[in-house]
Amino acid sequence: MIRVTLAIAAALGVLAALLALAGVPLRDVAVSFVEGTTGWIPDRGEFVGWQPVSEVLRRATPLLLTGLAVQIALQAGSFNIGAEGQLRVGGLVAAWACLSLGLTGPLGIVVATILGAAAGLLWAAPAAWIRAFRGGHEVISTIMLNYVAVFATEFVVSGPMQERPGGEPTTAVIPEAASLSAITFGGGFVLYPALLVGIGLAILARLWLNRTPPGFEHRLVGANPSAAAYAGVKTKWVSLRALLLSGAVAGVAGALHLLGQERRYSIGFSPGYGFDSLGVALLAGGHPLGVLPAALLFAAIEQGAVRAQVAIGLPKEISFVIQGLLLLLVAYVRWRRRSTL
Amino acid sequence: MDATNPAPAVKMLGISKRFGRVRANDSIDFTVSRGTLHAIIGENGSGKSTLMRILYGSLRPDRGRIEIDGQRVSFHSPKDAIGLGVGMASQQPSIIPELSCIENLLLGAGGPFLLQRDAAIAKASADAKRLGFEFEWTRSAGESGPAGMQKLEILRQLWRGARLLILDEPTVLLSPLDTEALFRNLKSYVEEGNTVILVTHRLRDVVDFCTHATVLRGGKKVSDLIVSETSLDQMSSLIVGETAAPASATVGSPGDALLSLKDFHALQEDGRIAATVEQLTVRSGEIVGIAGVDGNGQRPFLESLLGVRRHKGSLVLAGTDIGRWSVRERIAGGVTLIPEVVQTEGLVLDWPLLDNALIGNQWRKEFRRSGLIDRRSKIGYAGRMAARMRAKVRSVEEPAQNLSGGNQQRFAVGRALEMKPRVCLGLQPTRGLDVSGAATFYEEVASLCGEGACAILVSNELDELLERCHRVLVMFAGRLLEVPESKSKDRHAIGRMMVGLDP
Ligand SMILES: Nc1ncnc2c1ncn2[C@@H]1O[C@H](COP(=O)(O)OP(=O)(O)O)[C@@H](O)[C@H]1O
Ligand SMILES: [Mg+2]
Repeated sequence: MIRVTLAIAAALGVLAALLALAGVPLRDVAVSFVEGTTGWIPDRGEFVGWQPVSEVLRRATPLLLTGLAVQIALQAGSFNIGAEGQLRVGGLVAAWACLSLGLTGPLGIVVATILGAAAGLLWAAPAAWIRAFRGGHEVISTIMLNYVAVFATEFVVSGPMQERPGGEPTTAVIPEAASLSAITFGGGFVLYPALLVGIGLAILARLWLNRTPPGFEHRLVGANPSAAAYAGVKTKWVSLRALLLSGAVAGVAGALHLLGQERRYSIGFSPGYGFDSLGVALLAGGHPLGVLPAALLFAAIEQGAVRAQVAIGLPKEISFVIQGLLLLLVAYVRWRRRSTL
Repeated sequence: MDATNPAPAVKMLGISKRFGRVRANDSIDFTVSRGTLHAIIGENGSGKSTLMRILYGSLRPDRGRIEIDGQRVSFHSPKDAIGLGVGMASQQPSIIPELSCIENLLLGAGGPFLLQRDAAIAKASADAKRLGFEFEWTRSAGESGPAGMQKLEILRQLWRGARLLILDEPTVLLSPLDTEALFRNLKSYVEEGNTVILVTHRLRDVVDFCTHATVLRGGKKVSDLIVSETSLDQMSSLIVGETAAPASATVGSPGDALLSLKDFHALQEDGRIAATVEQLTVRSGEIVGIAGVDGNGQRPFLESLLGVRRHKGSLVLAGTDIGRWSVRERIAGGVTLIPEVVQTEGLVLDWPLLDNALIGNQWRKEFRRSGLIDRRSKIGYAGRMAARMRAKVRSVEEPAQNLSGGNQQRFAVGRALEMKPRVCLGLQPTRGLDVSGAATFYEEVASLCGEGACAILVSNELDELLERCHRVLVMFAGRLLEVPESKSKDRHAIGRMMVGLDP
């Protein structure tokens, strides 16, 4: 924990040095990041409201759920690079459930989410099967399935499920009654219910991994497959299950993103949550609950960068630089700890 | 290093190193003359590996100075040590199993051979010959098994031009034949003016091959000995601090048949036969030893009894055919296996001990409370595991990698014993254990057997098996052979069977 904090501090240091070299006024950058993520304006000592914080939480929600998906696979020693594709098919299937099956109300939301989970699971299934029983590496197969997902969903929304023939490549907007609307509190604080689902799932995942026999077997396969085999674990089945579970959680992320935020599936449904989630999961390290602070941090960086672009014209792509630096340094401290005898 | 330099090859003065509250090394003075084979002996956890890692630069001492050939040195990493001709083959080899044997040698060595594989293989074969080893250079290192990887680790030191060679318990993973060859060749290596430091607890090797010995106990140096002026007894009493209690012989006599095999074949992945047992009955209370040269089918045989490997033929436990049972069902039914290399096959080194306690026990109800795995029962179990084998454990929260190699072995063996198996299988269960650890193990097995269990133990230590088992069988070329009654205690005859000289 201390090391990770140090790594974050070091990342900020390197960033400051780079910005200073480029002649960017550091103080202004810092101020706009603080304003953009907390709503507190340091110069005036004034709090402008909960909107910035709500915005960070909104951005963090899909990152949390997909980060959790990647983390679950990682715990069993598999890299699910396919969260992006699983998220997309999960979202599209949820849209289809609302539009074609006419699901509405709380029960409808639950059913649409479950269908989204099933879609994500099925999308991960080929990779899971190849990994467990054919020895093919899941990194390759899940990346391939991402391409398939992107183009297949694009095809569906520019044809079979398109809102208006010849119009934008998007589905129709799902009815209000089918969506998982945000709750607005006094002071402008907006709560996205999907965030609570994400937190709940993270807690559940932690409990399952640390306190139940199948969860223990899941971690053991990730930590030492030979020891797992000697301990009576069916390692192939556990690897298979790990990627399926991971796909299902990514599918949930897609469904909830659709029901709670996008409300329609268009080709711009995900700006790459599935890829950012790899960073979130790596930053979280081996801790299932670590995805929560990691997702918040990633979201805050993106939100702060948007603000800095508006306020002082710093390109918001600076967020990629910060996230990249962070991952490099965190990976470095973790690796150092391993290698010292 | 210069052979005419009169200064000692190694001089370590006042070396201290603490890990938390443990003084792993406490003001140790240690000198080695050039051209000698110098042994460091001591119980598991006495600080031998720590001292050697300090000499090799992979650990920094808290205090003390180090001189190599009379020059004061301060190593920041093994790289500095390698530069001065110091090489260390460590207890946990750093060989990469996926790479071929030759690639493992080339890795990190630089030099002119990077692109000339054939030239590299020629030189490597010559170096290997100096140690009495042989390799299939282009096969992956993993295929050569733990022993092969250990040999490669030793060879790598020579390849890098080591003139001071540190071997940390090298024979733990080696077969007796390899050990013989290695030591004979090390003798000529030191005659060329090189120096060897051998960390071991096999006193016989010290007597047979070393000229000097240093005894450590509890992190302190107890004594420097000249081997020709000492005796096995004196050394073993210096190691434990008092005269070792005489080992008690096996007790109890076997009862009814517990485990029966008939026309049993352990299979490889591809369905070919890896080991064959025509007929074997192990009775309740019986300890059966299996002697043999490594790689003659012992491992596939025991693995197929546990079920991690398929078999053909009949396998009956207490009247029930368990041949179709899964590993999990067999573990629940009382079969347990102590793996060959506990560090890679039995433990997760960066997990706390209490999670390691759960490996293999994950489905036992006693660990759960209202459906969830309960921390307190893990703590209790881990404590009992450690106590069974007297593993030195400070806290069950610490990761397994903090234990010394021998204590890791004790802990993993303790887990198998604490499972209270009906059939206790062991692949080299006393490997890496000192004399008292091995004695504890056999006493624990005997007491399990006294309660009706049985044990099948594979070991390279023939004397140990002859002393501790009710009977000893031999495995050669994938077949389990009975030793004729008249020769059942005859070391020499069994040795001949192990290499296939007698039927
Ligand atoms: N990295 C470490 N962290 C904590 N304790 C350690 C570490 N390495 C060794 N120790 C402790 O130091 C003592 C000496 O260990 P070691 O030198 O490995 O013994 P051995 O004589 O068996 O080689 C043991 O009690 C061991 O638990
Ligand atoms: Mg040691």
